[in-house]
Amino acid sequence: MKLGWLVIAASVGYLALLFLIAYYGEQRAKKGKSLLRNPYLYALTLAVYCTAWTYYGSVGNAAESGLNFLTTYVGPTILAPIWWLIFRKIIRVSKVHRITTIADLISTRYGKSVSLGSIVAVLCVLGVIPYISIQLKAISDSFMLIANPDAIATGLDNMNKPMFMDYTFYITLGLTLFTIFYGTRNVDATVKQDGMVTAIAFESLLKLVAFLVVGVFITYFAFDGFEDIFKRASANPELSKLMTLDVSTGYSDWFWLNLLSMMAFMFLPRQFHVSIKENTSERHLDKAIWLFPLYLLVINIFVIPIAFGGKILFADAPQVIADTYVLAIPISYSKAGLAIFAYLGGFAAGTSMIIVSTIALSIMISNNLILPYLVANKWFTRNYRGNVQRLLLNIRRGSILAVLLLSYFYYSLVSTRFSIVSIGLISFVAVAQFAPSVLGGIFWKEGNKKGAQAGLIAGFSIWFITLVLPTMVQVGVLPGLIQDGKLFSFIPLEDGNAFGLAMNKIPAALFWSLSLNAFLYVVLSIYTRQTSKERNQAEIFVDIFKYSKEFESTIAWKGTAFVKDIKNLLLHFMGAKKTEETFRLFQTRYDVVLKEQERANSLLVNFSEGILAGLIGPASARILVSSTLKEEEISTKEVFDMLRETQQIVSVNKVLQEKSEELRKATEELKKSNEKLRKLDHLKDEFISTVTHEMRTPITSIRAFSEILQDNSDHITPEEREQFFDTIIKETERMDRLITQVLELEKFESGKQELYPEELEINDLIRESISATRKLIDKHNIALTLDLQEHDYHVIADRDRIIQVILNLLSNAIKFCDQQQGELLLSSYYIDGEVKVKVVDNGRGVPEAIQESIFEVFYQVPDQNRKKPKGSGLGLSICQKIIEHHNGRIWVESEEGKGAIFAFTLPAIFKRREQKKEEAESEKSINSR
Amino acid sequence: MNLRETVKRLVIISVCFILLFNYPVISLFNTTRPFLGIPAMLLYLAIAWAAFLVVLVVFMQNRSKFKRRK
Repeated sequence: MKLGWLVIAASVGYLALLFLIAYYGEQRAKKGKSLLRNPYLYALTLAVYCTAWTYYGSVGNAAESGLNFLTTYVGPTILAPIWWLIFRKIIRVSKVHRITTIADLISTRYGKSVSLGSIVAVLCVLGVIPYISIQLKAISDSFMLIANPDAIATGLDNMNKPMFMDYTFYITLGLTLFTIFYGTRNVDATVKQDGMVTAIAFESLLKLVAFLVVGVFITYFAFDGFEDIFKRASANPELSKLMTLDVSTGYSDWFWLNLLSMMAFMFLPRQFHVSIKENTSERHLDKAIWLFPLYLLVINIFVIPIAFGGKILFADAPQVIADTYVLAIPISYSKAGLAIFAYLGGFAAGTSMIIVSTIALSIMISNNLILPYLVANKWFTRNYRGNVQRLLLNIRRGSILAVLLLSYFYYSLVSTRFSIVSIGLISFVAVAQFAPSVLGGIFWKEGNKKGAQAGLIAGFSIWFITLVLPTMVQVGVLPGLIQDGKLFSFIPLEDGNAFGLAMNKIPAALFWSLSLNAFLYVVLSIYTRQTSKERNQAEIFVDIFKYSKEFESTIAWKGTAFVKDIKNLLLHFMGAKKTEETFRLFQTRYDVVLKEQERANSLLVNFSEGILAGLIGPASARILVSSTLKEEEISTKEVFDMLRETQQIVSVNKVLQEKSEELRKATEELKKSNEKLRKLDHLKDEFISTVTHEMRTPITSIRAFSEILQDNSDHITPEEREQFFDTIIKETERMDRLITQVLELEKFESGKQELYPEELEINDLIRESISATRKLIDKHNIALTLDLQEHDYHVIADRDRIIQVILNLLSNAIKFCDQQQGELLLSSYYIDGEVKVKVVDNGRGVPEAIQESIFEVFYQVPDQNRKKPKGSGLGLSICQKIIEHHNGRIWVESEEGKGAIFAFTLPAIFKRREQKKEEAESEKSINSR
Repeated sequence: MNLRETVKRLVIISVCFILLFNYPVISLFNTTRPFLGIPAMLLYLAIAWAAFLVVLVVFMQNRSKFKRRK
């Protein structure tokens, strides 16, 4: 199975696909539909954490030393809830400060220190370049294996290399091209790189799928599932031993390696790049903190089966390196397609890490190692008149090329001799050194530059001595340094007794470097003073959520500068168009008009410095601003005064916001009540017109009949006279009733109505009302059902009033009952401290829309089909008033066409009348004795 | 749930699982004897990992629900 050219074609095709995907990502962003706004994509980009180390190295590590490979993934997983809050803070800090790398973060926190930024950048470059080079090694090894499967029999070391080294070289060049193309799209480093990030997310997905496919193949096709593999492995004592931790060093190694990966996950330059710099919303963390651990769990499921499977399958071929099992097993089964897919998965894992790391390193190199020294150089600033933007981009592009070439040379000279995991862990220990200064920086205001610097240098040195020097010796540099397994003839190096601790090398080196680092950081921070600038940043970093909205006003600045000076500075670095944009943005944000001859205030200075920081890094921006403008020293007291002021502004703003919120609510309420008043006014008009109308009808007929009686007294028969008088009396009664009702209503409205409450049995009232309306019910042929519960509760109410209510409801029900087969149900019962009375009819019901209105004054069901309803439209209003005055409720439940239920409740009390009577009687009897 | 409360609970969750994933708890499963055909330690770690995910998802979900209601 010779797949050489096929694999080369696949690799080139894959790189082309990456370009396409990146292009797609950018096009989406241009249309305003950036994929970066998707939290799932964000979680996927975090998986750039999983490199070729995960893809090939985990299996190798598991096959050689067992469970420890898991620490790399367990650490970030169990820390996830905590990095939620750490990342949130760093994201916010970085956004307002326009920070793009971890070197900028540390340098900015400690007073925008150039030296600190340089230290961090150097540490990153030294720590990460070997790490990049092992990705190249993994890609190259996998290529060699798949292009020349005989290697399985002969071992990789015996292969003839030059040609394949060239292959890796071309891959490196291809990656350089991609990285330069999509990694340096914009001079402003804070601009999101949609294309690159989309491609990385795709690579994360691909490597996961490829690894799972290989895992499933090995577990379920090469073997009969997990149990089969574990059963066969347990037959081999060496393998079954791998499934436990060594009691002597295992637990502490496990702990320290977990800690190591926790820190590496947070502080690796590439992790910072995807998790902080490319983050578009803090809310993405909500999903990422479980999605990313899920990714890690899934990608680790098949590691042990593949490792054991490889050990079992290649039991007779020890020259097959465990690091290559993922590929070697499909090849040995002659599955060409699967092998190429597996190879591409590994390729994706390696390239994603290389791309992101290189971009992050290139920004660090340009922002922290080149630009600060360039802009501080008088000769350069005086004489350079070209296009600064082009220069900036070229510096970054040059850095990318340099990083990749360095990695390539490191790979071809050194890293071929080491396993993936060993070099990866050395890088981890390097970046773990950032933990004290970053965590201290965002949670501890006292942490200062001297402490950070001393801690970093100490940690860095120990890292170099304990981990880097020995590897150099192994490669043949300075061979005299190690004698009898002891560095400088006195530091023991062997695992299990490394550096005087009963630990293995990596955990021991981590322990010493980190402890000394943290110790120096804390002690020096306590015993030395911060400068005012540092103090300023410390306050802002730790309390970032308090200050982030008023960021420009939180940095103290004092000096004399004119708007023109600042404009010139920006022009020099950004060109006319961007400078105009920046000024416009500032003017709209602060609602001011800038004039060139005016003095610039601190807001403008800070704003411009922030914009420059996005281009050349905060440290260089500081140098530029301080060297161009006349600055004055600021005391720590002034810093605090200014911060206090800002805080006051913040709290005043908050109060104002609350006030305006209240105002808004009040306005709304006013609007509502205005609306109500309008409605009431309308009702009042209607009321008057209705009353007069209602009055006029009877008066008209009374007058008509009276006139007839007066004018034609001679011609009228006694029967007719009788009838006329009858009508006149009825109409008078009707008027009387109306006036009574209006007066009554008015009394309730004005609160003059008097009630005469007494303890009553509600059922008595109901029966009384029924007997009063019995005739009417019979006349309408209505079937009446009574459902009166006997209970021990009374109501305190005005007897006549309640009867009035019941009668009103009854007469309404009779009126609206089904004309042919009327049914009426009257029920009463006690429930939850109340007595409830229901009057149910089977009429046409009350539409939901008017269920509330029918209790309004003079409301009459609007219905064109029906003749003018009998009654005044005051009945239900009066009922409602009466019930409300008794602290009860009255309402209607109905569906159109299905009858209506009118119900009211009255507060109930336990029966006392009998008791009272008894008491009264016993008193009487006592008195009478 | 306000931010302070969220942070407090997240830290508690994290600390609990840091304890579950370290000595001495893991020493309970440090045996070559398999359980259900799978090495005991592996099985334990997988289950603990899954439990961790469930706890986090439920917590974050409830938190966002609470926020919306507010």
